[in-house]
Amino acid sequence: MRARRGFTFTEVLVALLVFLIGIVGVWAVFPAALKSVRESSAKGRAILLAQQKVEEMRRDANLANSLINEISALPAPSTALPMPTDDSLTYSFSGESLQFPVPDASEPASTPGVPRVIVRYAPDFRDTEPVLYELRFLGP
Amino acid sequence: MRNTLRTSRAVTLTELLVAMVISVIFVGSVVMVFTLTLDASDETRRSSDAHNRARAAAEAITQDLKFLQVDPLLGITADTLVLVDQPLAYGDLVDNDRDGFLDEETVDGADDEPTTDWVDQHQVVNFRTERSAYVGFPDLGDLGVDDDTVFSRDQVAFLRTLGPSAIPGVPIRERVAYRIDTFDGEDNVLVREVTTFDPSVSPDVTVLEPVVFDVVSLDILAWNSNTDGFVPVQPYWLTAWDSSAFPFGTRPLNAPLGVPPFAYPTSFFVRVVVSAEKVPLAEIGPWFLQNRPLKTETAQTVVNVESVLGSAEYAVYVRDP
Repeated sequence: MRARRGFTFTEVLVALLVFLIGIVGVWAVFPAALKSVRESSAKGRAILLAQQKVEEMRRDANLANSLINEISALPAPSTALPMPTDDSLTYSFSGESLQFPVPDASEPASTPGVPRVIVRYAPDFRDTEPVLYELRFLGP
Repeated sequence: MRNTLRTSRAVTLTELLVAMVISVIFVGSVVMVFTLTLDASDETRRSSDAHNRARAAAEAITQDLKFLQVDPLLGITADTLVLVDQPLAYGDLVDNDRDGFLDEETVDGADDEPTTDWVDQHQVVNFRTERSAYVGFPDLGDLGVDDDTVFSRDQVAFLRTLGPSAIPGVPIRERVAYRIDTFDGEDNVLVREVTTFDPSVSPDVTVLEPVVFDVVSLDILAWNSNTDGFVPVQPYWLTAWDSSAFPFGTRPLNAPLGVPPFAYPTSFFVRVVVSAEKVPLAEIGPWFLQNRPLKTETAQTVVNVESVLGSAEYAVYVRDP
């Protein structure tokens, strides 16, 4: 007769709790996957934005390359400006890398004195990703 | 015996009800969270897919425009480059520039934002400012001034030389055109039409290929480095271009009379807007009458025409006048 007894109320609650923990564990994977897709999309937009700014610089540069030389000499990123059609992204110009702040001969992207467009998330959108995309460029 | 009876007793009605309530809450929560997660996942996937399609379209167009070059044997003809402006009367029903109005802007250079932030996006280097003298002229300045979305269905077509044909002295050429059209019975397709002119093959062959489906808008602007009467003389954005129909007296900026104008714009601004809706655009119908925003993804970029940018005329008359 003992073998046929039902579950106690406590046993059911414990079983539900264990099941719930399992479900939450599986569910926790979804946001990470979504975040990955969103970041990939944001990076795509950042690349286009950086390319756009570089093309404008190349087009507008004078023969002395004043504009580009001035950017090369910037020791820190200029004021971040919002992307006109996407206020989740900002761009700025700099002669120094934010991704690789310490110059390293084995890392060309860290070379100082090279003009760059730096695309970041807008601070009120997300401030945990300092640099989304950094594009170095030369004169026209 | 008493112990055996106690352990095999049935659950009471109260216990049963409590267990049912807990189960319903539990299952309901799981189902709700699961549904919300699936919806969010679906939305993100569609948005990402739409952005990838928009970007692929923008890159396809820019790759073609970047290497435009006038064929010296042929010179400038009616097919050299034609950009046709076709703005639509409606937009996405979103106040993209946050000035309190929906889709109120047209590509006319008028600055009707409530703010006075006309400062050019190059302000960071201090000596570039918005071309304020162009307010009211067909100039977009920094593209950030007049930028609320109004959809367009522009068309661009150009001629290019591919290489020698079987007939000496007459190269193979092709005419490439981009437009939003119908493809295989499906509307709203960005198509690339290529007509090949091979003197050794008759008739000419035309191929229509789809670039991207469910395209809402194709917006192309041309950065004009020719002078055509505007004062002060500075480059500005044009919404249309015809290489064979420059106004009389047009020439590169600051060039003396008699110097031929640039046949091509210095740059193109290309913006592709693709639908991110769950159902195809054709099934939604005229969304602008349904008074709800259309879910879209936009890819935009600027591409320079290298043959203009690298020319001696551009260096002499535009870069350093």
